Amino acid sequence: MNTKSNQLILIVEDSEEDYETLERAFRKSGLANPVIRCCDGDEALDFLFHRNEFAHDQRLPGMILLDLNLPGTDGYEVLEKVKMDKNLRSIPVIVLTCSSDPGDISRCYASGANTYIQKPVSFEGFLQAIQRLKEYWFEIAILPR
Amino acid sequence: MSISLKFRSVAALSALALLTVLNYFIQNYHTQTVDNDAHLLNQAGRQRMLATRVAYLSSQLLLYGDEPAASGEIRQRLLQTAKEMAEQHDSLVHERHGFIDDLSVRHIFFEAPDMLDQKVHAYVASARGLANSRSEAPRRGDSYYAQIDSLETPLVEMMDRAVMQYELSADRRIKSLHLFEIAGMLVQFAGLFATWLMIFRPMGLRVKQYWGAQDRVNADLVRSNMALAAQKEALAREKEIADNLRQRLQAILDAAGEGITGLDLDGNIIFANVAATRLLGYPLEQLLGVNHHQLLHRSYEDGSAFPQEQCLIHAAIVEGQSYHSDTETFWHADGTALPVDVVSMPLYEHSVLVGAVLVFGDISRRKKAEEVIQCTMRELERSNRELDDFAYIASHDLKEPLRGIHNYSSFLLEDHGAHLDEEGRRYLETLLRLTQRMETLVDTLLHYSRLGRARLNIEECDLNELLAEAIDSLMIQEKHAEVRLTCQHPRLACNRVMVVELLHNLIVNGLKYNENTEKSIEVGCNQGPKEMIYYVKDNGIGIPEKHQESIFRIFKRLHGRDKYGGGTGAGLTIVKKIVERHGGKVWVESRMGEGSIFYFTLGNMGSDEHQIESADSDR
Repeated sequence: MNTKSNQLILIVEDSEEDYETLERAFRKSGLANPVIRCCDGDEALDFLFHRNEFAHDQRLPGMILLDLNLPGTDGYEVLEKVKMDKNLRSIPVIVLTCSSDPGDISRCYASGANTYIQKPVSFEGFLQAIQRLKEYWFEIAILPR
Repeated sequence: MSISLKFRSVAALSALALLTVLNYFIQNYHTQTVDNDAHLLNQAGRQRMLATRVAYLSSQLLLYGDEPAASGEIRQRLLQTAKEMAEQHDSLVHERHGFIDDLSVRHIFFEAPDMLDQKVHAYVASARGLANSRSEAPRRGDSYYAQIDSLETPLVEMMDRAVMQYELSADRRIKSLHLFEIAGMLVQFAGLFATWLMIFRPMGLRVKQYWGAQDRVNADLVRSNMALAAQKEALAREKEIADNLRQRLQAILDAAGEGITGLDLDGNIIFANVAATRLLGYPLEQLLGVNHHQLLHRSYEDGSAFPQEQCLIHAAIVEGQSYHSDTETFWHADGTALPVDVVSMPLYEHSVLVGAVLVFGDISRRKKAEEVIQCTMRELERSNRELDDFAYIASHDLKEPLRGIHNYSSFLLEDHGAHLDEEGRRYLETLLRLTQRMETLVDTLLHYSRLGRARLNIEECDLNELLAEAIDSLMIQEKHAEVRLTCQHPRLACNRVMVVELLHNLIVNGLKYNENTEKSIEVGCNQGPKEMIYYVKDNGIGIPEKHQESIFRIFKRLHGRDKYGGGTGAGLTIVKKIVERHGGKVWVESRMGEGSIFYFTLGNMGSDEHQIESADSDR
């Protein structure tokens, strides 16, 4: 438990409001893991591959929460890059997006997404989703070290 | 040469025969004359001899008168001689063609003062007298003897003279006969010459001509033989070529995927290739000689009767016109309709129209494909329209509750703001900001959908004016930038409002995504291969190559929401829509840190009224 609650969670989300909502949901569901936020795909990739401004930050996340609709490099590309890299591919990637398009869903799973969750419109739904997420990934599932 | 050779040869030969006969008579006469002369001269010589003998015998008788035996014999001989002399004289004088005929001789005989004739008679008489005298021994004084003795010498002299005279005239005769002979010879030569001239020469010429002609004929024959051989060879070659051509033609006909049939002027099938039999389902023998229209073209696709008089293919055949159609229907042997693309070409033989060649292909697949495409096109058109309509309706309808949220949030903030703490007010402000953002997005969507629905009114514009309008609508701080136009052909036909917006969007992007202290925009145009290519060039931050396509997607932003002045991410989508409405296209060339060039074309709006019409009729 301890090890899991120490794991860094990477949140890739461009929308301020959505990020604030997510933080709030984390707080309410008691998910106290450290969090790092990237606002677009390029920033996320820089963090993951220790490039540019993250060149000296050697941390790697234990989980990635990924929005698809991002300015510039989008979530699909981040997902593909992560799942094609042998060091990063074991990191669970949870796609968290507004889209419920079947094409988007199958494309994400085909690229190696571990879970695909549509952002619920209501905060209650959103909070519930985050709680289940926490239960499953941080209490039931066994993750690689 | 009007007189025939036959006649001339007969005439010439007759003349020659006549000449020969004439010559014969001349020769004959000549011989006779010479013969006669010789005979007469001989006789004359003999007469002279007889005269001498008389004188001799007379003298003998004088000598031997004493001897009776001798004198008797001498007398006898004298008488004999005298008799002979007299007879001979008669013959000389009286014989026809005789010696005496010669005038000068005659003169000697009868007309000279002492006529020879009388002398001869006297001489003979004397001789006879002497011979018959009774005296046993005549004496020298005997009158007869005296007579003989005195007459002998003049007689002989005169006879010599006569003979000489005669010889002279005989000589003359011979000479004249010689001349005559020469003349005859000449005449004969002349005759021969004439014969040659009239027969042999023309004959020779004829022969020569004949042989010449023969030679020519022979030469001609040789030549014509050679020509014949050459002709034969050429024929063989032509036949070979024709055979090759025929084989090639057959191969082409058999290899052709399209049906090929030959029709005569009545529309009867005179040949058909393999593909034709395959496409029509009839074996070749059921096609040949059969009327094409009646068999294959008898009714329209809907089954109604199609008389041959109305058939355009048949009309084209009869008039020697070519014809092409892809709307005809032939009937397959199994009764199914066969939509065909048919071409009819007139067929000529020796420049005479004899019929036509029909080439037809089965276009049922093409027709089906066309139907599918048309169906898809219609479907696409419909769904596009529905999408536009949906966006339009959705934008309108979405805005209504949005306005409600916005308004009620405002009311709450205004009326109860004092009861809220800092965080509560921040939440409400975020709510208002988000409703505003939502409204902007909906407005953008509405505007975008309007661009697809609005009438495309095309007018002649000047790029300078359009650019001025576009700059005019810039915000104050953006107006400091340098925007210049470098266009040789600023006239263009377009929708004024849309192109102003297009330019505005590109210029705004060029200035917004620009970290340069001296921001500059260049608008220009170049003549492309088909149409004018316009461009808007900036010295901004540039666009990574991997995003150069996605930038045209609606609401797609390359940067964070509030970076570079924010925005909905619809500017380039609207640019693209405007360009596409004009029938043009838009693309970008960019290098990071150096700037971007957006190129666009606007189709050929001014020159193609139809395109304008069809674009208008879309709505």
